[in-house]
Amino acid sequence: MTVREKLTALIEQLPEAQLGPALEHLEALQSASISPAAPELVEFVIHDAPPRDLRRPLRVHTWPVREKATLEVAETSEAEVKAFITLLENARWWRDHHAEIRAAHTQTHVAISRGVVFPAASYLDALTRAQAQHPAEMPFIIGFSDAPPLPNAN
Amino acid sequence: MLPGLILVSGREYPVQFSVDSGAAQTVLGSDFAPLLQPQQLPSTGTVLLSAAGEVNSFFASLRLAFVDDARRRVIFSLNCAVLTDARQANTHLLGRDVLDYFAVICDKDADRVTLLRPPHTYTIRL
Repeated sequence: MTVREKLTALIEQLPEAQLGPALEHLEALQSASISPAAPELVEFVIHDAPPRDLRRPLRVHTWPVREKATLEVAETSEAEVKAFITLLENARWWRDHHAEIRAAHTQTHVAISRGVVFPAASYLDALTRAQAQHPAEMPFIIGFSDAPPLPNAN
Repeated sequence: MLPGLILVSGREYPVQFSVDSGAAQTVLGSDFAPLLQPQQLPSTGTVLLSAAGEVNSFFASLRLAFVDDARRRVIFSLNCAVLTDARQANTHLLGRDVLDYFAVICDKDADRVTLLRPPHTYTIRL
């Protein structure tokens, strides 16, 4: 019996009051189910989820992965590592300042590099502007859209 | 968000992914459509479906890079869906074609998304 089958069997036995909270966590369980510790997670779901009267379909289906990516681990130069670390730092800076940046700029994109904001009309323009100023760094870039979404927008 | 890099034609492009364990497929927003047009794969008739229906897109072959805690590059080669209409969606989603390599921990309180694979493990203490 696979881990997922065991989880499904356990969840199906739950009283109705506990079913909703358990299903709410089912996706996270599926994601985590490659770990050998997964069966213990079921107890976590049952005891830790807040008691709420939710009604959801019992079975949750996810689309199968059509084509798994291939993975390789490569040694990395110090410059590449540094560039990636600057990307993480720029992302953190954005997180701490996003409200003021969003309010101050009307362009569709901004790049963040070392605390400097580079507004631009496209992703590539923002990247070019930021790297012209800080060529060894990897900027954080985000796009905004104020256009009305289409009816089938996600 | 999970920062990463797209490797195309010898250049690196930063991208911020949302981790989406419900997505069977990694998806890039329309920002990358002009850049990835040359990598476009021949159509197989496969369409990208969101909760709201079909989304305009094409598929492109590319590589994604992250750096692990041992300061090595972890590179994924994949056929990625690329959105073409920002009015439908312009988010970048890391789907299960990549996430299935990991145990994924999303810890909002710690402000951290962790992608974990052997030799690393985790334990939940109740």
